[in-house]
Amino acid sequence: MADTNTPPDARTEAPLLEIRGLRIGFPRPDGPPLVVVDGVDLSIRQGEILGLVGESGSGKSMLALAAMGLVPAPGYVMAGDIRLDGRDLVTLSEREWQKVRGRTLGMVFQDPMTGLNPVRSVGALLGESVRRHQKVGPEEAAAISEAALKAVGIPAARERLAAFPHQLSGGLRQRVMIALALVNRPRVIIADEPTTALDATIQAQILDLLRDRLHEAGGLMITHDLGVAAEICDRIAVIYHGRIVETGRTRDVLAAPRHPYTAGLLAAVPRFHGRGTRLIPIRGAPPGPVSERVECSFRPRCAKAAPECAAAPALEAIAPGRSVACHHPVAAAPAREDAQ
Amino acid sequence: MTRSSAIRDAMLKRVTELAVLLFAITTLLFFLLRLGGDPAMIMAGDEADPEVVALIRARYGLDQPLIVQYLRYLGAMLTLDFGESLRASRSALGLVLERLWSTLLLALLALLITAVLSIPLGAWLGYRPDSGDRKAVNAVVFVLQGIPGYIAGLLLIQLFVVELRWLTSIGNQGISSWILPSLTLASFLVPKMVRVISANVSEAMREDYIRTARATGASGPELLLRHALPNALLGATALIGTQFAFLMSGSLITEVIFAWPGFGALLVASVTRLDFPVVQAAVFVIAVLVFLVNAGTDILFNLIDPRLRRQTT
Repeated sequence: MADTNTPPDARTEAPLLEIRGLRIGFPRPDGPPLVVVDGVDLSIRQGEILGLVGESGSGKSMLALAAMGLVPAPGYVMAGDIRLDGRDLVTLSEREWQKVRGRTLGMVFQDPMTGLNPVRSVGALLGESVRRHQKVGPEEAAAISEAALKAVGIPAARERLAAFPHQLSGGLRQRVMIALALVNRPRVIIADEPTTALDATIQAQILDLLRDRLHEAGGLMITHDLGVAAEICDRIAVIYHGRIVETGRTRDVLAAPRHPYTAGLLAAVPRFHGRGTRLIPIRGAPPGPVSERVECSFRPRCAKAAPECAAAPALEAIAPGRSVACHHPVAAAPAREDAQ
Repeated sequence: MTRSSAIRDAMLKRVTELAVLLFAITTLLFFLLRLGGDPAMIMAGDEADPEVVALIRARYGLDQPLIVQYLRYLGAMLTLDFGESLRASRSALGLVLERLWSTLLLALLALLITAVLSIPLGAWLGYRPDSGDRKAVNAVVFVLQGIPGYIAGLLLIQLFVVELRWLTSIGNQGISSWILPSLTLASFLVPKMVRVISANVSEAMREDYIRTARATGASGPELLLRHALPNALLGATALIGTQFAFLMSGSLITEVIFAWPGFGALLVASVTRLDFPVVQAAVFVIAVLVFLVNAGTDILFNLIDPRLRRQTT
């Protein structure tokens, strides 16, 4: 398969995390499995943050869980591979996965209110992860944990080690979650809607933090919010109904979306300047999971649907580092002028 | 508010609660007992001389109007003086306390057995409740829950005393005689506790924080022991508190089966003989004990659940 979503300047550098042809399915008693992620290719290089943007049910969280080896049963990886530094993860045993999780791959989850064990102190949670993956004693583990809390901007880090989750605000808890993901300096950090459960002012702080910390490794940022992706991601991949429909550098995609779905998402985002312009929602709802797709999944909601759309389009390169899966891409000119 | 004054307030509240509780229970008991019959008649026997009966009444103050008896009783109770047993010519409280230890011994042993059996079993069952072998064990636990304690006691005697002749089943004759009665008592509790713990564990295993721990590389046993079980045991602690009262009263049948010189047997004998002072002392002691255990459970709760601890930072 052509290396379609790589910007030209980075072609020479091997990707840190590379996902190819990933299919994730849920078995059914009567019939073939329901496919929730259907042939996805993604790659993340050192120092790069890739934004995976999609609605709920698009398969984006399932993809993130698959990269951690945490697809919830009975779901399973049907095909494809996930390579981290060239090593295939899909074939790992559970024991081998345990050495990868928290060590070379870190994950930040959405809800810091329910995501931290209420009866374990911050220091216990961090220290447990450090000592699991590094050969250090309790004191050194505490020092590493403290350094991780400092790295996520938590004041009085040493005292916070003794704190329990309920003693911390939502923003602090999410910082602890991020510290937990990066305490062992993983190669890639996956963040699944890390700001969705937070207040708007806290969101901005956490995004700043994630931009810095994720750029130090490689980052996969899962979000439904194009605004969030625009803030911190170098590249964007838009996922719809289990497939990538458009990828490219963030500013290119935002300036001139080529897939009608991306264009629709952008038209539905409120903008500071566009005073008086109406937000245009995408009509209809995304389809549920299917076993086999025939037509383009976006066809029922697409204003530009044509007879050819009865056959699902493949993701094809349209420019260096830019691909789209559409028979009739939106014109290369900006889809919507921002009001002056 | 400082920490120490908060603790003092909490304790004051507790002591007030205990006083109100004891007043209500003893008052209710006093009048309920007097509905039962005339103890002097029972002591003197059916064909006793009326003069003897009158003498007995005078000796124990039973000839006074009920309200006078009640006020005397309240006054005496303030000094923990429950009077003498109408039967044994001994202090009622002394009689009760003497028996209390052997019943407490059984209750504590039963709790210990329950904890040792039901925590590992409940954790194992709750860790993966859908696997086939665990479903089978669950079904067995469910059936065991329905077996009354006296049946379990009789089966244990049949097996270990009659058939195998390993243990004794009569009275308190040292450790070998403790095993069967405490096992019988535990047989009430173990199935209940196993079900609560396994339900709590399987619920905890579905929590978001388990997924977080998984994402840091935790193995199955680590998830269970360090993350799910501590949360699951919180619910079980509350159950221990409520079950203790049950253990104290539920020991009655067990004590009868094993001829155990305990508290339950004394209480029943005293009720049938209308031995008011002993019944009053016994109920008083039970009320205090159950109260103390519940207060102790609350303290235990505070120790293991950091959310209930006062913020010290």
